[in-house]
Amino acid sequence: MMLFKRKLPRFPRALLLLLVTAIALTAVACTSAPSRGWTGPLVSGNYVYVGTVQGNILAYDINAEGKDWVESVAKRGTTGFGCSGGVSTASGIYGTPVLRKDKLYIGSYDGSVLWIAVDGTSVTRSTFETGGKIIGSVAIDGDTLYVGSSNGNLYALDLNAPDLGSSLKDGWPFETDGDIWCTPVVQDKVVYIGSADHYLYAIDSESGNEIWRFETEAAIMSTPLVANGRVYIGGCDRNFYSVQAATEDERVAVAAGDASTVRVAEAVFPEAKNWFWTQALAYNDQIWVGCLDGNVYVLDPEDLSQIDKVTTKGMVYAPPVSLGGMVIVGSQDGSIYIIDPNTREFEAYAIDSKSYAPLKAPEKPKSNPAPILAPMFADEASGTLYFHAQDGYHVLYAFKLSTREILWHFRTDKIK
Amino acid sequence: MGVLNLIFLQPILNFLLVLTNVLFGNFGLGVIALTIIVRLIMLPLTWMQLRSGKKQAETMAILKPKMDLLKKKYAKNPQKMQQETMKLYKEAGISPMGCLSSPMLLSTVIQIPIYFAIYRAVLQALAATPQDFLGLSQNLYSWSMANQGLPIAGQFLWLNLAQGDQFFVLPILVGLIQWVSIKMTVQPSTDPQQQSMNSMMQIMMPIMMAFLTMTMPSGLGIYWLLSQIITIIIQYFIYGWGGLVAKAPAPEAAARPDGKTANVKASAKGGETGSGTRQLKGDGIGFGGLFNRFKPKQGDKDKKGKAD
Repeated sequence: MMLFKRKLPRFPRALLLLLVTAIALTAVACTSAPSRGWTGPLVSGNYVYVGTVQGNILAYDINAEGKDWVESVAKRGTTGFGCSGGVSTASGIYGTPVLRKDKLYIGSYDGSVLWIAVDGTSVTRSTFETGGKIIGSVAIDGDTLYVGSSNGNLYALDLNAPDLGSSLKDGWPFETDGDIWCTPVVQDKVVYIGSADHYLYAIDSESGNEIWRFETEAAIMSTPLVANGRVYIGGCDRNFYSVQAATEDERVAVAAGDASTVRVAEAVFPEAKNWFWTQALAYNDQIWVGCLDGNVYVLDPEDLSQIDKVTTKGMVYAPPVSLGGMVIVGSQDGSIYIIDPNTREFEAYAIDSKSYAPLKAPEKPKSNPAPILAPMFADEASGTLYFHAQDGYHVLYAFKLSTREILWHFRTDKIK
Repeated sequence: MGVLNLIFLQPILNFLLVLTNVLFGNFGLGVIALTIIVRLIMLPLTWMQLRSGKKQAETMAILKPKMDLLKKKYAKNPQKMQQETMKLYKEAGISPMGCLSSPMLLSTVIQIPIYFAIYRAVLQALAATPQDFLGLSQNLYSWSMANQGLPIAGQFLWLNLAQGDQFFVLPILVGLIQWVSIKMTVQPSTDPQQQSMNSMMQIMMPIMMAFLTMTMPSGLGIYWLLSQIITIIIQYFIYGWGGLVAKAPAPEAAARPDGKTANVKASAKGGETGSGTRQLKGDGIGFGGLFNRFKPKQGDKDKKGKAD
């Protein structure tokens, strides 16, 4: 009875305050975004291939307007506890699939490169482990696949090898001192890749020898553009550069054992207010490049002087594309900007993520706008723009440019 | 939130990244330097807060016998008792608002957003995923020193700063230091109720902080650990070793009913007026002033004497 009569100690106010503080701290700490990924669509024939937030590759049948098949790609798992686990969890897909000879190639955030053979209904797979997270897409040139990894290595895989797991070519990987988050670009047997070690590299695609390197003042996360005999690259130093591309003579000399050289910039555009994190577009004798400051800069390809700029209301992370004589820009503000390349006048269409209907700006979406972060696919043959918007729902859209209407939409986050 | 980011988060975040860049790109050293600098800048406030809390606690101890008398006298009239208590507080020149009184309120209000900003800056700087990086880009200045070192190399000693400590060394250290800090500030007591609360405080808080450290990126754990150590040093200069060396008062001494042993009596009856925690500066994140409402006990004088 004494036990029941005894007054229990009051919960100390200090402890209560501490509990509240701990909960608040935990809530604030969990602002770190999970690695959910964003992938752009690839259109081939009647199919759209796209990665999903659950780490799957989805094949969407355009004619049937529905899922054809779905295959799990990214491994799942957590390490550590709570938020720290959330930070380190490897899942999701950031790269866009690449199709070659009925095989889809994809790099996953869990560090693996794999292909999925698509022969109608059956799906098989083979993987190569890089050991670092893969953020960019793979690039295929002939029978070789190139992929960069967050462990700082650029890999070259022989696609004729019976198994992807043992397909690493001699002389590779090419090692850098920083994370590689961008997609390699292959042009005239030269691979161009940027690294977080501040360098842009030109590498002989066969031997894996470095031809030259170009130093910027910060990490390079954007994918280079090779055009007009130059390499255009933007960095986290807020500068956009043009550098002379590697020549065949340089490549042959390096392959024969000559030492690499150091490039200097031909021109610099230093006016941006934030990082460049997307590949530029060469169109209409202009260079179009999106910036995280919300602008799309239109630059002279020779001296990178600014011709014009188009301002969006969000970060421009998805590369601009050309379609039907227009330049299309997707923005984090959830709008598609259809820009006349000659006058730079534009129409902006926000996508309402509830009605899935395009709303002409400045009308605001009724619900949350759907940020467009992944690369878009412009299908010139059908005049259709395919894009994958990542709001809470993750929706794949087909947008008819001529009529400015959504042909269809498909929620990819519901796919299991 | 945008204004708070502009005023607090962005300056601290950019400063942290500059420090990291200067200190050989080592983020662990950057966090350590930032913690020391911020705590030094905040030292006058922290000192004022601690001193104010101590002074208030001492005054409350002196008033304790009179308050006990009031309680007995107006046991059946709580309203009158409250009025008389307020009157007593006013005469003694202390605020009935406790930690919400100036200057403690001022120092607390100034410190809280700064500590939260440090907390978020460490997390943001450790951006691991592309989404994190996009968010980080929106809070950076154009300073090349702030942008050059990104992405942050997460390795420091045995730790991956973006992840929890796989070997649990850091959480154990944080818990241990937290325990020392609380032990310094918790007053030994003969009252079973108060002892129970003290014990709970001494066990629960270190466990809680250790668990939080385990669940958060290690970069944050380093900040907590160092901040806690600095707090202990400051506490030492104001309170001495406190409960770490003080013995519980003898039961007979505690039981003396005369008003001359006010502090002893207060200690024995601490459970009636609050927990035995007189000062709780050991939260490691700058909320010390919030915990200053708990009344002083006999050990005050012991500790003060030792500190002096």
